[in-house]
Amino acid sequence: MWKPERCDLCGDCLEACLYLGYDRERAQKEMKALIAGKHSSVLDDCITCCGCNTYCTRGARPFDLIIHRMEEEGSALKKGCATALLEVFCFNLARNFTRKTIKGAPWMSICCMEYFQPHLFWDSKLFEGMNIVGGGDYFCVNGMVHGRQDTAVFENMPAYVERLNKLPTDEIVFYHDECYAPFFSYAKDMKLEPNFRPVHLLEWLIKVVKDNYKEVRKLGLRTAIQLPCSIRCGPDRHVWIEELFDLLGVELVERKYDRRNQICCGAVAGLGGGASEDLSENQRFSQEIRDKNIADAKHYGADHMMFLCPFCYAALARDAKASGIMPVMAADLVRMSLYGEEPTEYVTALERGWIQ
Amino acid sequence: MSKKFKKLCEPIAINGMKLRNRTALAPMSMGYTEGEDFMNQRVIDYYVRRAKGHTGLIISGVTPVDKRGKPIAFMHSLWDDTFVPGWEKLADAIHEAGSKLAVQLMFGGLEGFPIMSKGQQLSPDGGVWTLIKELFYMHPDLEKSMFMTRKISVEELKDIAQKFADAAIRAKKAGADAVEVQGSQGFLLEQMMSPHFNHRTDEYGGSLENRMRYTIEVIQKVRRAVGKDYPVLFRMVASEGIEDGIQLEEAKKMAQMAVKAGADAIHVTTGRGITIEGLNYMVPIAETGPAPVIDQVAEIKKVVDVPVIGAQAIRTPQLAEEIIKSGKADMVALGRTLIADPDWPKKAEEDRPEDIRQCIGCNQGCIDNLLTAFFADCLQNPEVGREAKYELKKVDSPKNVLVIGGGVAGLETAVVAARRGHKVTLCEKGDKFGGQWNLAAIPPGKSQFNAVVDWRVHTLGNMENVKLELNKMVTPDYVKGLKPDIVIVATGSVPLIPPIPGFDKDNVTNVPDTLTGKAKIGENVAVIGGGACGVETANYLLDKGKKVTVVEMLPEIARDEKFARKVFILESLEKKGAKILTSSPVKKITEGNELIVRSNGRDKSVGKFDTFVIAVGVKTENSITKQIKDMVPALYEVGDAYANPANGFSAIQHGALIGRNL
Ligand SMILES: Cc1cc2nc3c(=O)[nH]c(=O)nc-3n(C[C@H](O)[C@H](O)[C@H](O)COP(=O)(O)O)c2cc1C
Ligand code: SF4
Repeated sequence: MWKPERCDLCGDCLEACLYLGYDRERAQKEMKALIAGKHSSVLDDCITCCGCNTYCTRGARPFDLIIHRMEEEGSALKKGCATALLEVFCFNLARNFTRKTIKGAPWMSICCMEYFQPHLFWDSKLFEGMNIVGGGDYFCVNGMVHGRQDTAVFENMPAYVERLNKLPTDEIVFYHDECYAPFFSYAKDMKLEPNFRPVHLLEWLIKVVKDNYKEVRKLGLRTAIQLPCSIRCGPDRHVWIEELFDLLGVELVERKYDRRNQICCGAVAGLGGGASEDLSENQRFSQEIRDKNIADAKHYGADHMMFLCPFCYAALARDAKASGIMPVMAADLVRMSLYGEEPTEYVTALERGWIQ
Repeated sequence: MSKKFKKLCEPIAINGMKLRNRTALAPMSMGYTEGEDFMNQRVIDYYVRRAKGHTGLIISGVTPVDKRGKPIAFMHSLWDDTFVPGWEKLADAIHEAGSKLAVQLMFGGLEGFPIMSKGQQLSPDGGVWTLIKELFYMHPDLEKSMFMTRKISVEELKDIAQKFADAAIRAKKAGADAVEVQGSQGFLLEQMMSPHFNHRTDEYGGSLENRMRYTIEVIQKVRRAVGKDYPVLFRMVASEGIEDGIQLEEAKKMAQMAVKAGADAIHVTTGRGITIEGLNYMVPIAETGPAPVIDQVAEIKKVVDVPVIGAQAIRTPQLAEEIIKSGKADMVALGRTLIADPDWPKKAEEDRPEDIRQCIGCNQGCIDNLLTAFFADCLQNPEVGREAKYELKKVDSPKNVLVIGGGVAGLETAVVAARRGHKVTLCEKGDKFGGQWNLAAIPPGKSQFNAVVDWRVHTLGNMENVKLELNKMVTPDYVKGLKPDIVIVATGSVPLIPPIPGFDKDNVTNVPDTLTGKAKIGENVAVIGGGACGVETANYLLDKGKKVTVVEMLPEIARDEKFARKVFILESLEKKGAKILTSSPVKKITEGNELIVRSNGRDKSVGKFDTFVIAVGVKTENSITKQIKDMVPALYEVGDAYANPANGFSAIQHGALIGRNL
């Protein structure tokens, strides 16, 4: 939620944006316009990467203001179909299921990940014995912000937290970063208290690796990371990534578009939630970002690229592979190291279509 | 060999392809491939399991002949030579099991997601697939052009016909015994044949001859490619169930034309395509009853002189035998029937029809999952799609297993444990097995649902290592006496009654008491909770002539039902005049029986009712666990007793998993 009292109109946030290209003066001017409820070019050109929420060191959450204003202006209606796709596929259609196992086993929510890796959760040794819930009922709808609106997110949040609260466990592991993030943003803003501790996938993976350390086969990979927009809320994921990589013998490849400079995976632009009303223009822009991204990872010598979000994977997997970089999800690294399993190439079918 | 099902078990030949009996696996796309759609072990295991159950002919699920004709994710393909080795493996394995393989060749046409084919979706008329309209058009923020198909040109039609022929050659090269040209399920050929889909003004549109022209070209091309001695089947529709669609009279002529063009057998089903209503027409749910199109199949059989295969909801060998004996069809295609029980043909051959685990026509595990998770599962058969992993292995040292609770979770665990060789005692406190599942079979038309419980009780009843006890309330003393090695707590759940003012009144009841007739129900009823359980109960009450209002907290009702059942139930409620209130959390029931809900930020009355049925979910009931867990070496809870969310599908899946781990 936008926190106006914390904003001193410094312009840091919009100036730091990797896509808008504003100088400080312009940044301040546009920020003023946004606050005053006037039209700003930000509302046309923002690609909804959430970055400005972290560029603002005072915690004013400028991105939340932008999304709110976009919805007020109705740009959600004008632009793209990300929301419709998400709503129909993830919220309405994704089957709700509960895989029950035995008492004491951890609980994990996989949201709509069955679309991306339909068999992984049943086949991999890593998830054997876990209790798993998934489907539209466990979709936080956070992704709707890429459809330039946030009302839907706020509206769904109580039901989202409530359904998770009903699970008989005091810890829930979230496979998708984005399902974890709301507990540090929307749910928190709305004072919705989970009766469990949200556990980030990385935290859980670290624990699994430590518990089975004898089985670890050091991977010896040079891996770049592509983190999703949802990491802009909650604890710094890098700390966990560094620890996990260390345990698995994976070298973290630092690169230009990393950390504060992290760029978008291009998924949103490609889905049609992008800045232009012309779909092919969005696709072109998406490709431009992806090219930059992969070239950068290549330049710094990565042989693998790790993702926390299946959409990022979907957007970048094909191009990464083409330049000799193997795309992997975080859990894949652990599956490879502990159980000698192959990473699943799960989204090729979607990748072929959803994000072009 | 069978005495009861002589005709069904008789061999038959289709253009030289000898089949061991009259059964075929109906073509079903199960979604078991991954990534680039090569044949994989999971798919092979699924088909071979059906071959091992003595299915005569395995017809593969749809196999796109071209990338542009692939409607949804995950379908085994044959659009270039790189796919051939995978199919070779499949053909070999099926032959080894004594069956034959036919590859169903298909092009999606209008059905499919243009965004997946990068705007290359082709269809007879251009336009948008109805399912997409149904799913998306309510969204004003949709980029409609993303879903528009392009009208297929004559050159493209010729090109795709050639692709059918090329794929047929690949199938033959891979060792498949036949190909089936897909002219049903609303894919391209049906679209070209159907006056509903095809409004072209060129030589491919208009008259029957014109609409059939393309299909004839495809069959002829395929025939020429594979030679005259190779079986070519043609799957077509008897009707599309819509006024402007293909009707039986035309279908009869189409069948004759297809035979003349070179088809060696006609496989008849219904069509219209994958739309919400079309699905119910092509893959009928329990309420439709058995074999709804067989009389139309019989009409088509009368006018052609090649073998005719009849499909749809043929669930028992008795019915299949009757169909073949009376000459309605020469063979039966069994779809969900063989998902639910791959040993169906074998059991028929051995005259054990009572051992068959019948498909219940719920569509929940198969069709709904295929469309909502992209792979098919089955409520009756948790093994489908995980044949290798779930194959039952006998245990070395059998243990004494006590199962407490005879609902579906307890029954499934018991079946799996007993088949693996454990000694099982199953105790049910009521006078009937099945627990809450029995309620699911009460609403109108759902008696087929009883097969879930009946099969399990029948199977357990025939095993020497199983003891079944009804009216047996398990106590700690009983457990002490029995000294089991493992206890399974499958005590289910009880209706959840939230602490809302007025919910303790005498005229407030729950779902079980309503459906079993235990509760007295007045004329004007409010069903509180519009999930699956609530709406099915409402449907039941409407049939009893009650006035029913469904009150739901969420913005929609039946959120937990999908596609087939959802449409069916929503239509049924509408037709029978139920009143539906959504986004209305209940606040209280007043002294004067008024129901107060919160709506738009304020409390308001929605009327006076005689009876209130609470259908807001269930609460786990496993109190026995605490009392006995220190007395036994191992204890597992299954199904609802383990945790919410609870439903029959996950209860059976859970039982299947736990049973395999004992
Ligand atoms: C999961 C599933 C997938 C199907 N896929 C296909 C298919 O690929 N090609 C086809 O012609 N029919 C397909 N069908 C329709 C079936 O072949 C069959 O006609 C229908 O299910 C009715 O028969 P049944 O009652 O024996 O299942 C499918 C049906 C199901 C349940
Ligand atoms: S899920 Fe239901 S309809 Fe489908 S095959 Fe199984 S029992 Fe039949």
